[in-house]
Amino acid sequence: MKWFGRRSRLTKNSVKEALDNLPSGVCFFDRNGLLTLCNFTMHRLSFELTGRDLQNIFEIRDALQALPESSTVTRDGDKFILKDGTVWRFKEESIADEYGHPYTQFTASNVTDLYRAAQALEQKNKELAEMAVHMEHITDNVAAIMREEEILAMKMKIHNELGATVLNVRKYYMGGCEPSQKDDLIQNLRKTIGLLVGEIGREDETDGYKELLELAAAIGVTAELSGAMPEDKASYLLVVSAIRECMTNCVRHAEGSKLFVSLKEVENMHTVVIANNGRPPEGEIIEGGGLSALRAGIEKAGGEMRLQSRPVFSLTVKIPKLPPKGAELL
Amino acid sequence: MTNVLLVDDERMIQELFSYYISTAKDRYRLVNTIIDAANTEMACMGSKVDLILMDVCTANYASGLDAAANIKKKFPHIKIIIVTSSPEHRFLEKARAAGAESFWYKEVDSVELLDVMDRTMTGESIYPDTTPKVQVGLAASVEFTPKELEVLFHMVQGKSIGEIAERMGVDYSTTRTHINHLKDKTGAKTNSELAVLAAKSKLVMPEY
Repeated sequence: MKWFGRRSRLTKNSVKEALDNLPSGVCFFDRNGLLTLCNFTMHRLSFELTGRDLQNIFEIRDALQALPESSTVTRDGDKFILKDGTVWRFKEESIADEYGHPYTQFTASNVTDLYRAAQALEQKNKELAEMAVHMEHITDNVAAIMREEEILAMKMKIHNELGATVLNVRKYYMGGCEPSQKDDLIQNLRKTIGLLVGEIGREDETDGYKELLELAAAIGVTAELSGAMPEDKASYLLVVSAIRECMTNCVRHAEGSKLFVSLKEVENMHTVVIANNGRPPEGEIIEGGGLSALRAGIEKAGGEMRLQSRPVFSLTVKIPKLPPKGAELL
Repeated sequence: MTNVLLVDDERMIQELFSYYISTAKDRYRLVNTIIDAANTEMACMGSKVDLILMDVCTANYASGLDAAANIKKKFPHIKIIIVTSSPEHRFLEKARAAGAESFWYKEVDSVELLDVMDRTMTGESIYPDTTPKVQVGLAASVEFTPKELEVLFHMVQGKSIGEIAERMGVDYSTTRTHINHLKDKTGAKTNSELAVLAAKSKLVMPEY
């Protein structure tokens, strides 16, 4: 009975002792803001926050709002990093005791592990994002690498054929070939020399837009441009796609012969308006495969596309100016 | 006489194919050569075309497979042979889906190309049974399952495991298992190394 009686008494000291053993910081202030109870951990934390012993609620509130110069703590958002490396998060709550007397409770939780894990995750995500950009560049280059390999294979083939042809010519002059083989020999020579002459005599053609204008001109359609084409490749290709789509539709549906393309650059946006001299559409234009694909490409680039059917056809495209590829890696 | 349109941005290929066609003047005539597959429709509007030799990766990143699908809608009578040197496994199925009559892996052999052209013009559809074998690290491309190829397709686009799982409609752990199998086969030590190996092998080319 004696043992039971001793255990059933809850003294002020036993409450304080229990609070001191908590791993979290905890303290209470009365309605006047005066400190009524504070455990060891909160004492230590508040001392590091304010640079002195905690007396009233305003000291801790002010310190949590803006750390005083005397503080040894650094802040990262709602988390406070102590000089020993531990990370703490503070919480203020209004509570009442069993008699209804109001108190303010401050708790401090040790979130060091959580904070470090979040930091590691953030770093990992950053690395993954960089890796994704890097992969995109590698993927972009694959087509170019493949083209180089194709060229190399062709050149090796031509080189081998040239070698074989030269040997056969030598053999022919030395009388090692039948006269009937002469035609084959000449044909091989023509082929190899033709390929070599082609290789030397022509520049690589890479401008798909120029090609489009030439093809359109061949069927009597021209484009009248005002303004300059975008300089960044991605926007340039989107504008060319828009012109190509309008040009095809001009011939197919409007029986027109001229496209009017107005290009402007306003506040980091390329704005393109395309019209034609053909018949106006008979009704509202329904977006088919070409226009839908164009819209998808433009919207993917963060732009917008607007179609007008009445009184005359026009297509307006807005595309944000893009940074040059690879700029995000710098 | 069959009018041929050649769509290929590589000058040497243009020269070579042009030469091959010239050796069969009795049945083929090259009416035009263009470099950008997106311009194919315009080229077909301007010339009478019966057969297109269409590369997959053309100027300005234009896809010959997309262009083939468009041409088949607008000019269904035109026959198309997809020509490529890429071992990308999806190209065969994409070419079929686009409606291309035939598919030919670029070789420097005129007889074979002309044979494919002749047979295509007589109504045959000629597709290779398999893609060319390429090496991805320690593994040959034929060792990969379709699911593993799909994982690689997403990986070379820099997608995370979670994103790949979502796109494939499978669990995160299933995706991770596929990646572990791929790493075992190729000898890649990390996911990044695996993605780089796959991209360099040209086994997967997501942009086309």
